[in-house]
Amino acid sequence: MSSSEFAVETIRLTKDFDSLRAVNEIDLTIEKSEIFGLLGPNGAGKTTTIRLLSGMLIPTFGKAKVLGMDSVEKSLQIREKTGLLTETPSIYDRLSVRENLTFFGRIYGVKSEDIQKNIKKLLKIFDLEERIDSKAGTLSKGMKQKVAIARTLIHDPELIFLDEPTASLAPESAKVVRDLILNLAKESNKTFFIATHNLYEAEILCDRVAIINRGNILAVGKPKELKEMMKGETYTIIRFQEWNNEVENFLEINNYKISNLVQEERKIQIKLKDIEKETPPLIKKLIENNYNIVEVFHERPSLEKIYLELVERETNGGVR
Amino acid sequence: MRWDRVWALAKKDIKEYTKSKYVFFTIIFMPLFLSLLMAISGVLPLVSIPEDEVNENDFASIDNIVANVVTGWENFSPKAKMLIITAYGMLFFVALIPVIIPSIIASETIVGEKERKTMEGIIASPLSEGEIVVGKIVSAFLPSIIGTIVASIVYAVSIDIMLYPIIGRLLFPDPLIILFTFVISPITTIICVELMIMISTKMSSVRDAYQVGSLVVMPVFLFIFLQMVSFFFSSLLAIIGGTLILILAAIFFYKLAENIFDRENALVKLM
Repeated sequence: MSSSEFAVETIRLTKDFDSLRAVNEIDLTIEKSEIFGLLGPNGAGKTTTIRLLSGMLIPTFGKAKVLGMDSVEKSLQIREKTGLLTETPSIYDRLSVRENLTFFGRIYGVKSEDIQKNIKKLLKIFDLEERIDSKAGTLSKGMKQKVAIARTLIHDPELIFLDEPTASLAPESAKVVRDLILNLAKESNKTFFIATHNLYEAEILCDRVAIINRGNILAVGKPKELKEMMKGETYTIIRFQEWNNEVENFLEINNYKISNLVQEERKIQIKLKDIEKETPPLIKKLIENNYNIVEVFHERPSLEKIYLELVERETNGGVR
Repeated sequence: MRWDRVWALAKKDIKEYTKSKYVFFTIIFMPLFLSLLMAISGVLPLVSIPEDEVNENDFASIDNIVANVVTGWENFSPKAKMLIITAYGMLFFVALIPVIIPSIIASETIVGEKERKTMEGIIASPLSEGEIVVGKIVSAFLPSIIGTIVASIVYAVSIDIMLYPIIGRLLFPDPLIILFTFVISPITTIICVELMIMISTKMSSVRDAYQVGSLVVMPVFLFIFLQMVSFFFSSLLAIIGGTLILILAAIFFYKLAENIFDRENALVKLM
């Protein structure tokens, strides 16, 4: 794949603020039409990475190509062709929704006749048509965020950076925003770069995810691939109808490794080497020995577990 | 420089601050209030003073200076001379307008953007640093110039109404008020906005920017004062020289403001 086919390509991208290294030698490639998530805790370097990619900051060293253009030499052109939803909505409370969107349309160089067309189209998508002449300051947080996303899209950008798109939103508003992003991604074939600390959001929205902490990329891959990294961490949980103290001995005699036991919940957690092969005989043995099973299920490592594990490992071990 | 983008930014600022009651009232009423106040409180009380109570020796020291710019000076009565001198004196206060209005607007539109967390949207846009600086200058320039013109007209008309029965002719418009309104005031407005842009990089609240800004722009007012005083000495060279210095200062401060309003610097200050 040639570099121009990538929406984003970085080589050892680094940013220092005085003695603080905010982004450390990041190597990333993001394909066009991909929804890419940058997942990390607060202060991990997500916003700085977005600002570097959108040509707002100059790297200390390393380089980034965005839509085939150098982020330093062609920063203005990059900003013209990309949209950035900043962490705060960046909309003007004293102006109406229409005035806000018209202003952003103009500074992004959209033709006057297209601005009003785009506003109508976007407000229809965001279900804000009735509030077009309302002052932005009178809108709810969720509505403001929708207007902010609309202003990010007013010039029909090829690549959209979203910095914490649902942080500070109530769960129902966050869901609306997430659904909107998914619909837009499906319908428009645009590339999305989403910085978030919300694991659930990353998992349901993103094709691929990179985990970042203290400026270092710890892992990159599809959420499924990241889970595969910790395949060995899958546990089998058996819940019984009534608790029998002998079950513990029974399992140990049969060489099953118990990793957790919650008597009050009548639950036992064991680790199987091969789930596919070992689960049926285990159930059979338990039934044969009159242990009344209510359910058996496997707890696979969640993205959250992988994320926490990697971040903790990096924070304690220190990559740098 | 994309002028459509510059105008879009200026237009947005104008729409925004005209919706702020405080700023709106300052722009509309301050020029009217200041010009009328100066005319009514400074000149009107003197109109009713009996002719024989005016002693020409009281203003003999500046008599010759004013004689340089007012034709037929020697034919005026002492009372008429006193009124003309006071009318010119009060005009200096009207000259505060092109310093006050741009300082208030620039604080509102630059530090206000930071305070309301809208600056990042501007920085993330394709506007260049130069376009942002010029956009902010334009948005402060228009109301400042309109305010100065309104104030000059109101002041000139008020003075002419009060003085015409005494001096028998119109004092204003004269070259000084034209020089002040159309040459000095536009340049000083630009300089004030540029200074406010520089101040804004260090300030995080509009109130702090007002306070520091009002101190920093005072030397600009002093320059306006000196420029207007040089008019009375009929020194064309001094007026041209002073105007050139103002133009050069405006260019110098533009370059400085553009450099200080560096995108990365502005962004880091927001963090």
